[in-house]
Amino acid sequence: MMPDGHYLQFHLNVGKRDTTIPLQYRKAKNAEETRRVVKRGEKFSEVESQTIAVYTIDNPIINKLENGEDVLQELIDSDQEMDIELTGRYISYKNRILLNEENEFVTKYNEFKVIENKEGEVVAEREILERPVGNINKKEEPVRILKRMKKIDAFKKFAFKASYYLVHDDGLSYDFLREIAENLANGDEMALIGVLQKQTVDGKEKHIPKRLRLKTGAREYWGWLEGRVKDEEYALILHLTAMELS
Amino acid sequence: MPGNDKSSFGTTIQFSIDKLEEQASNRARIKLHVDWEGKSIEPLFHLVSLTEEKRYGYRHFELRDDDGNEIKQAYLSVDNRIFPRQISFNGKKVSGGLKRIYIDGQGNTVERNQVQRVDYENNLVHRYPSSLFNEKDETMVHLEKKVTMEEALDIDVKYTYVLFPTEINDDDTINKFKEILTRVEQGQPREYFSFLFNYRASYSRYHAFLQLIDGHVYMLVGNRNEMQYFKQEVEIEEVTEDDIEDFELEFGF
Repeated sequence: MMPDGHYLQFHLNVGKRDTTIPLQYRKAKNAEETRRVVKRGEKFSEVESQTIAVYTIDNPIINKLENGEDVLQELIDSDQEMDIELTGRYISYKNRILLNEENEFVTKYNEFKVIENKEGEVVAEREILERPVGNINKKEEPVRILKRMKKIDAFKKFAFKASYYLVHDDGLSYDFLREIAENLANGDEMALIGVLQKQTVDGKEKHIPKRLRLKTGAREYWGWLEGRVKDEEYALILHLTAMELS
Repeated sequence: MPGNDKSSFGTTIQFSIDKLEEQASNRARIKLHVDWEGKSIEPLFHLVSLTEEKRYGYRHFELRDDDGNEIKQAYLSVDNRIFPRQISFNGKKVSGGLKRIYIDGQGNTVERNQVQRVDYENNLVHRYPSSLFNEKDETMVHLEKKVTMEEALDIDVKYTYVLFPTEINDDDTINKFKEILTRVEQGQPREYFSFLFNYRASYSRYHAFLQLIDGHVYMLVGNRNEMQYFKQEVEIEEVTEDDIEDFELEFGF
């Protein structure tokens, strides 16, 4: 039986076992969730959120704004008429486009990743030549356990940002996942998982551990597996982290 | 490893935890209250956020043309109007030519201060006041509930804060508080103080828990997952004699 709500597949290799596992997102919740927005004092008078037009790129005042201008004074001085056909109109459908400095359409561009330090100085800059593809479901480079750590040490070392369940879809994968969960739970451990990517370094072929990228275009995370077992039931949880606490 | 330049991810750490303390003095405060062995302890901390950007550097993406000039994003409406996505003003990027507003059933605009929220049973929901300390009403967070390590792991961490003692605490208060955190954590099972937290007045609250790491008090804040276990579902349909009779009858037609 395929579980509800999963859409990602995970190619996992542990020991001699090698199989594809569905991932199910764990949807974390606030302490309270509100449902509807209503007019103050009127419980059933629901209001809805709408996007409206305010100004376009042709607006002379907005395009003049740079630093510290008194916007109200600019409006008075320019004696500008409001575009009553445009301002306040509902915009229900829009496309995202790219413009150059002359406000001309652009279809060809180069994408750069820029890293700055706290003082705003650029410390690294790299051109993104191709869209990074998801790396968790490749048979030739499966996700593997790279390292095991006591659960308490991993818990104190990393901030875990999001999590997924690894779920079985048949009897064999049930045995496989339950065994991993039981093994980790009994050892009170968590397992760091990643992809071993083949790379040639100094003329030699090496396997370099890489972080998990769940989907094409998504960012990379280190993944940690946590296992819990309750009677015949199990939970094998994938925790994602991108930050160390200490 | 406070002060180390290399993280265990192999990336360069721009900002160590010790350096965060330099920012603490002018930051928001949180007052905690815990009853321990018949005494009340109320340490007051400054709250400094720890982010990936602070740890590893501020990262952003830029689009440029072949000459290196920056390309900006905009929206195109169905009637071919172009709206800027962001504009620069006073050195900051502010939202552009579109705005989101509330409208009622008759199409009239409703100001943001004229709306309220209701829950699933149509009960009005009130804003929870901020959990931060303010001298006027002496807001404090009572540490009464504890969670196990597994329950703490069920929280997907959205914000991380390091708590630095304010000057008005005496050393005994802070040392005693850290000792309490240590003793709670060393119990069987390991436990951590947990509470509901919101930085600003808000309609919803986050789950938070405290940890003592390398002598620093950390507060991790986020949303909580419901725990779900999975079992093998074996459905074996037993064939009874009645089924066989039905089968034969159907086949007979």
